[in-house]
Amino acid sequence: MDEPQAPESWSSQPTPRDPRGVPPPHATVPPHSVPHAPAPTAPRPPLDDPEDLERPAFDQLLRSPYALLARIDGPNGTAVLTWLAVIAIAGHAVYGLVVGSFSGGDQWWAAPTKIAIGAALCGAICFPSLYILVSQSGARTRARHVLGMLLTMSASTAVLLAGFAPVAWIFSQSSNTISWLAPLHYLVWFVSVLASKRVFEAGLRRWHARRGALVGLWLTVFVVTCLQMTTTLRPILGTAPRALDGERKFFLAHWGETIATEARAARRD
Amino acid sequence: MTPCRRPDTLHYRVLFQLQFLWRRARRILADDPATALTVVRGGRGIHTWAPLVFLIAGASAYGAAMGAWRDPKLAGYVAIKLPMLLVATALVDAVANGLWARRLGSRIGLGESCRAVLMAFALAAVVLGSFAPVLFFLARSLPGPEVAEARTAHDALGLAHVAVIALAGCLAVARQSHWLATLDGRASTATRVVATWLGLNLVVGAQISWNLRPWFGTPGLPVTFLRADPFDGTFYESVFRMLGNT
Repeated sequence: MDEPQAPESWSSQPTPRDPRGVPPPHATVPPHSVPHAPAPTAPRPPLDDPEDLERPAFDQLLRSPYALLARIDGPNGTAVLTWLAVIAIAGHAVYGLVVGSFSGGDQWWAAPTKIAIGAALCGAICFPSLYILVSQSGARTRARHVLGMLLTMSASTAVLLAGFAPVAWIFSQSSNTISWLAPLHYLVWFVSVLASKRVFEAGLRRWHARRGALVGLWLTVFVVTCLQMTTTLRPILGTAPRALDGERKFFLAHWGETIATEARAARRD
Repeated sequence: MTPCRRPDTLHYRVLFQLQFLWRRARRILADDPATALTVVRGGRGIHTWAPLVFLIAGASAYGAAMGAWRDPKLAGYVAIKLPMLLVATALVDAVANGLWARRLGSRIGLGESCRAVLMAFALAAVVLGSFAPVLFFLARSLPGPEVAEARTAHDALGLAHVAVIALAGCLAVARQSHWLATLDGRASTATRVVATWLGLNLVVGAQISWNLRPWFGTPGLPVTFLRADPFDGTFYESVFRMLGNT
């Protein structure tokens, strides 16, 4: 049922709906206009591989996000969302360990904590705009579905990051230069996010969106927010007297200063 | 079997209205023209004031994010002024919008044109409100107004706001065009009407925003609700003066 039925005592409430979508008789309806009937429920597009529904959830996360998103509507939907959130936090924390291994000391716990919390904060900050832009794409979704897409994307990114962790660790142990390592970590993260973009494509397909470009725009906003968050939560790579720098700085300005500082130090040496 | 009768209390009535509002909003966001046209054509009760509720909620949230960089007080001021700007623009242009719609061959009435404009503003306000957390985060993480890099941060944030407002405006205008095309039955007429309304609203909106400044808060100037002489000069005179100075 789309709308609740009005109690009998509320005579000023909107008139009950007509399932054909015809406007109520009291509304001014120009004779030439044709009222639009509500769109019939379209059959769900077929899965690429029907066996995807039978796969374990972790396999679906990497191979078939469409089938994983279908679970959100099922009886264990809340459990699936919780599981995705746990995977997202754990995967980001694992990669944070690798990032923290560059400096050691307090960064062994600070870097994973900041990366996990930062990822969660970025998701929370960008969720309202994701909901609105997914709706504007024409998808017939609820907040729960959009949350599922966001958590699935985040979990997929986290799993890919964790997969890249050994690669990043080798480079972390081989280099002493932040201005070289930081772009490497950003590149790994960006590739993981791009590879997880298919979650949105699957979600928009599942919920009958008509336009996909708006979600691409959201992804740009999300990336910029995450880049700024890494600067706000610094230091993550490298050390500093305090756990959080506290000084407000644009991420491009911070990168420029870091590169300039290391270049000056290299010239002195 | 006797049907279950819901309690007729004030608390339940408010909850029912909010639930109904939210369902309507979701349908309009998902581009369900039948729902949007129910509001534009006008009905009783909730259809009249629902767009206002969303306009005020979304615009207030975005206004707070806009003013947050300069000062928390300015965040509060702009949270009040931004909904005022949108409603004032719709009201000042109401008669002109309705008359020009007729002049261009549209069959919609004055009330329908006013509601269509308010609905579009409400949709834009909802989109703006959804970006409020992002812009608030940027405002609080970029250098503040008291440091040397304030000008750079001010300009970067200004660009971000322009981009978000442009996006919200484009989405709202596209939807409004779709509603009018469905209501009137002729896409070409709807496009002409929407283009005319856009021009009128931009001209009037720019002037009203000039009267209601400050919005963003220039570093060095005091934080006030309105400037000392809000009706002294126009937006276009100041643009002309700036062009002359360059």
